[in-house]
Amino acid sequence: MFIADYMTTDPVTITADITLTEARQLLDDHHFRHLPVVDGAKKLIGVVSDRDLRLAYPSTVIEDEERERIFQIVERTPVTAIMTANCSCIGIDATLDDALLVFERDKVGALPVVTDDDVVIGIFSMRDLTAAYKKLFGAAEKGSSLIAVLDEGKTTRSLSRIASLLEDNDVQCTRLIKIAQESGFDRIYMRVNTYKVSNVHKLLQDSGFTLLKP
Amino acid sequence: MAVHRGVTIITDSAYFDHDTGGFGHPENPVRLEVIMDALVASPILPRLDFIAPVPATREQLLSAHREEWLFRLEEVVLSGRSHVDHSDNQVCYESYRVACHAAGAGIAGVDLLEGGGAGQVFCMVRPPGHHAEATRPFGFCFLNNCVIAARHWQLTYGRQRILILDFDAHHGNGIQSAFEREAGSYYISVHEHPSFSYPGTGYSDEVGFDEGRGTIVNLPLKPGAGDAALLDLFVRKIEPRIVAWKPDAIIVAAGFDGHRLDDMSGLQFSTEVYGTLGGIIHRWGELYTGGRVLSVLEGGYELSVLGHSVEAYLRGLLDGADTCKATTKRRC
Repeated sequence: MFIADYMTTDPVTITADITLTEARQLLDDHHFRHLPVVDGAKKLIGVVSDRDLRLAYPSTVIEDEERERIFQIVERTPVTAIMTANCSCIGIDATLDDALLVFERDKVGALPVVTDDDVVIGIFSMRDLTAAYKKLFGAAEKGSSLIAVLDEGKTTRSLSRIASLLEDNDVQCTRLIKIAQESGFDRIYMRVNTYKVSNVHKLLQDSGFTLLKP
Repeated sequence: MAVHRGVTIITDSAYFDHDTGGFGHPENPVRLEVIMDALVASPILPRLDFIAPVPATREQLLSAHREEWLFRLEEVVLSGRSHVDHSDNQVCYESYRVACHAAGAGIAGVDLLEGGGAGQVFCMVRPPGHHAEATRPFGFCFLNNCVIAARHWQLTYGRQRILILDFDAHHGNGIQSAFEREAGSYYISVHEHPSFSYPGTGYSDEVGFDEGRGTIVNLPLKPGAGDAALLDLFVRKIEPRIVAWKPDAIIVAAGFDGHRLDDMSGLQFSTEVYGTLGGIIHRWGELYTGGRVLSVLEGGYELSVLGHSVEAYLRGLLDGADTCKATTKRRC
């Protein structure tokens, strides 16, 4: 549940004197999209993204002469001219939920991970977040499938009942989540690890739960 | 060897020796009994030949599996344990031997087809194989019969471009994992959507990696999908791939658990659609692979319809799409 488990540690960083051409080459070579910009003490001073770089380069539809003139400027320009200073970042002890909220609030694609004194020790991207939640919820986990039921309030302790039901019948359950709905019945999702999914459907139905099917 | 234009059924009494702990387990020996009953009662019986395979050799198994898994499987069954890794994967003392016999069926089928001694080949085997990975069992599967046959085709006969087409209701994760990083071998699977079905893999965005990127095609169907959705995929999605890929041979992972009465999936296929699939695959073999089509039994657990579904499929394989349409009108 902590970003430290999913972030890229010791990421490639650049210093303020790196030119846009050099930064672009780094992104191309490493196939990633964000470069933290740091000072001599590895402290964060900004971030430059592939999008920032694309915006700095001349459009392909302008005249060759004008393009060449802009290229020459770009080659001399340091990343500090286009980087986002005071950029979003996150601490090493942040949770996945913390990161999700920052991504949602700041509309960025990656967050440098810093120590209390702003030294960059990692980078956590939206792709890392997706991978983390995929693992958390077990999506595409081999041997598993998802079952959803409505919690119609017919009985109390619905989660305990489902957990016992699965355990008593030797069905491996790897996730069990109850999600309240603003309207209608709450929903309970479980990820089970069995070939005989229909047997689990029957067990749940026989115990009074209504299956939620597509 | 005389050219045979019927279907050669490769099967063995050894397959009855894989005891999965009684008939509460869906993958049990009665599956083969009901298939045999349906074939004996079928008008196509005179056009069927039955032969027994020899077990796959250690070297042949190693073309698809790692040695540590073979040792582990053998050790588990000989030590008398009831299952491997998961209680779904029930075994008995004979299971390793039987699995080797099942793997040998595909190899025998390939040899027959290459020798010109068979028209169509159907390997009536158990345990099934398409979930088995190089080092792990999954979903009643221990050795990947289809992948072992594919490797035999590649290594012995130089037919590199092997397509495995899988219409079992469940995604064949074992076949995919064997092929997903290599160019020139292909896997197409039609199955119930992995969010709702075992083994939870086979999303449409799983397309292979590295050199194998683009050689894997997953076509998940939502629970409740029926014949029309299945046939639509065959016509619109699968045949164009075969035309583009030009495989040297097709191996069919033939699972019959998408039947509407089979509760191992939420798919709603009819008995007769398997006849139509057989007809289509017959035609593809004629058009695209010089008749090199090998079918291998995978799933199918509802005993009241499994035999009829297999019989319909073989009828389609025998006579092609046109005859199949005519005959399936009489069946329901």
